[in-house]
Amino acid sequence: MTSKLDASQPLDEKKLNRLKLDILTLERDNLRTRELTNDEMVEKIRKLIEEEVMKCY
Amino acid sequence: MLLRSIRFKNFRQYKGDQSIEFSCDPERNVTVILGDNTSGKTTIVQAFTWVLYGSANFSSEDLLNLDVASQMRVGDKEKVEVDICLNHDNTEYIISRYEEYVCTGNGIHRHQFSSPKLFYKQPDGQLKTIEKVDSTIQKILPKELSNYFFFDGERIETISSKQDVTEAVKGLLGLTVLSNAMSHLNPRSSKSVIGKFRSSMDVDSSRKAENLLQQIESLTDRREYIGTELANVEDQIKHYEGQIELTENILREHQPTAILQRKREELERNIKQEKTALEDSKKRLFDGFNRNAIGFFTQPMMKKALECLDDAKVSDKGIPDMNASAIDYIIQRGICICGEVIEEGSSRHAHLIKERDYLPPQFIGTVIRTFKEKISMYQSFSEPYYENLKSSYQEIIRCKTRINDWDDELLDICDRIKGKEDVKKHEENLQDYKNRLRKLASEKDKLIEENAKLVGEIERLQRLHDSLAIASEKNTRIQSYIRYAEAIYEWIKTTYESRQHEIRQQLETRVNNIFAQMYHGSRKVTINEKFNVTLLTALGEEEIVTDESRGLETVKNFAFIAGLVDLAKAKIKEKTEDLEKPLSSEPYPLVMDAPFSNADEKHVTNISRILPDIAEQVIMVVMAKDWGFAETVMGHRVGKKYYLDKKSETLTYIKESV
Repeated sequence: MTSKLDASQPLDEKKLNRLKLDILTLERDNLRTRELTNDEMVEKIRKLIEEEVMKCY
Repeated sequence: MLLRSIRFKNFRQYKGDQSIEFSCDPERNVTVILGDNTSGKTTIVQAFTWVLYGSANFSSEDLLNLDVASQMRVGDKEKVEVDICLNHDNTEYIISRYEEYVCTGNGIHRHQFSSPKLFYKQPDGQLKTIEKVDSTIQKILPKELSNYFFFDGERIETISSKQDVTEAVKGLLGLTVLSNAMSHLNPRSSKSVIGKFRSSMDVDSSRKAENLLQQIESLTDRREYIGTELANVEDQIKHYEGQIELTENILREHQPTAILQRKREELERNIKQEKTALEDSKKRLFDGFNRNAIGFFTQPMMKKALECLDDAKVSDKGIPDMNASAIDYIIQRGICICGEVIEEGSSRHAHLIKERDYLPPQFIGTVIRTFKEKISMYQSFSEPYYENLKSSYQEIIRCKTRINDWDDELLDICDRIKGKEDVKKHEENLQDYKNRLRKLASEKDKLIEENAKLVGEIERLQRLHDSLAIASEKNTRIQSYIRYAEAIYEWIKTTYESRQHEIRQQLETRVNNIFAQMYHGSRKVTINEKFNVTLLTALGEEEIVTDESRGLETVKNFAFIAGLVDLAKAKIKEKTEDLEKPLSSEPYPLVMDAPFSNADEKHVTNISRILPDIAEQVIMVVMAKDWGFAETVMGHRVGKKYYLDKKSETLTYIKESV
């Protein structure tokens, strides 16, 4: 299920915090493993944001 | 991470299988390995980095124990192997690396390299292989950070003044995670997350969609107008079809009258044409007459004259069109027209006299002949004239006759249809209705055709609009992603800036605290933006940078390392918020080779007192003479103790002290 987006709506704090945590965790893991290149990291973060923002809790 | 044990097999001077178990007891977290110079202390520390990262800082690349190598024969193979057992994140790992050497006719050669093998112990005690060895090792202890936990004496001396310390410290304290995240989100870069979101937006689509909507509305309005027009046209068509039917019924009822009326019209038309023809004939007659009016009247007289002259004597001896005066003139002139001289009495003269006798006025026969010839010629010319006049006259008579006949017939028809319905009017109306119907049908066809075109065009524009509307929705979605990404970026940036400052201050405070416990003088440590450590000495109210002895340098660096470890450990304990977790560090052991080589007794004592409290695990490979000073304060924290029993330059045994 996805949520209806409206640019004028305030940001969902829960989603925002979840994204912060996910992005930092991803960065920490990749800092250690170096598995993903910069471009791959950008792509992965982009997908993280897209998926989280579209979620409807 | 806590180190549990290390096992050597033929690794340099550690011949055969030898191992060390490290103390993991939190209360007695120190493992001491005592050894003299060249007994293999550095080899033990280097063995860790060799197993974990495949690199070691030895002068020779060959790691095989020289005693073992010397006993090898051609074709023999021997392995050098080191295993490390460690605990990380509540899991026990075994990391193993080996090299195989082979003896050939040319000597001993490294035959096979190995990637590290990594296992973890399952709850049932069984070992399971991990495929992603390098990435797992990176997770356990990133190579970049290993320098801060595996020290040889040299590194301890330079650790706090090297340029590359910034990134490593940031990494250890979680700032690299933030700076990498900032870099990946950076709104000013087109290749970042935000940059890519922006570039994926279709900025023109909304405007285009609006334009298309206007076009669709305009075409829809036109369609509605056409619909109204079509309804009007259809109403009119229906009306005229009704009228036509009605009129045709009337015409059917008055068909005989209609026939007569048509006949009347035909007669009227014929009479009109005939009258025109009559006028033409009359005109021809008069014109013909006027062309030769005298001839018209003289012709009968000439005919009469000819009849009278039929009996007259006509001679053909005289010269036509000549008279006696012409002969008289020639005689009088004396020269004939042929040039001959004419003399009276000559034969020529006599002949002329004779000829004169046949000429008028003495002789009329010639005149009559000439007259008759002229009349004949005139008559021949006048014959068509008469014929034409006659023909025109006859035509006039015929026209008049026909007109009279038709007039009679017309009068008769008029009498018969007198008082009847004017069928012609209905016929005209019918024709008018039919014409209108044709025009309306054509108009209807055009309207239907235009309507069909409009439907197609509206559908096409609608599809285009729908696709743009999707793009527009996509833009809204992307704008939302960007808002989240920007908010996260701003939060990370703020966090990074405040943390960078905060961490440097915290580190400086901790390093100063530790330094104060280690150093018995009155100096102070400052840490700059690049995390380089400088010692300041108080001089009056000022603090100045002074030269440092190697001993003081060692103490300073220990304080820095201890401060780092302490701060990292504190950050782990601080893990109260979820968001702190990714920024936290792991507990790491301190593995040190000859750490006190440049420190005096007092400092060795101070350092040894502090390190076990700060680090999770301390492993020291130390000279016996240095250990004597340390043992007094650290002895009660020692959980395991070994000494290196050097038998020769190529053989050392690791023995546990009781």
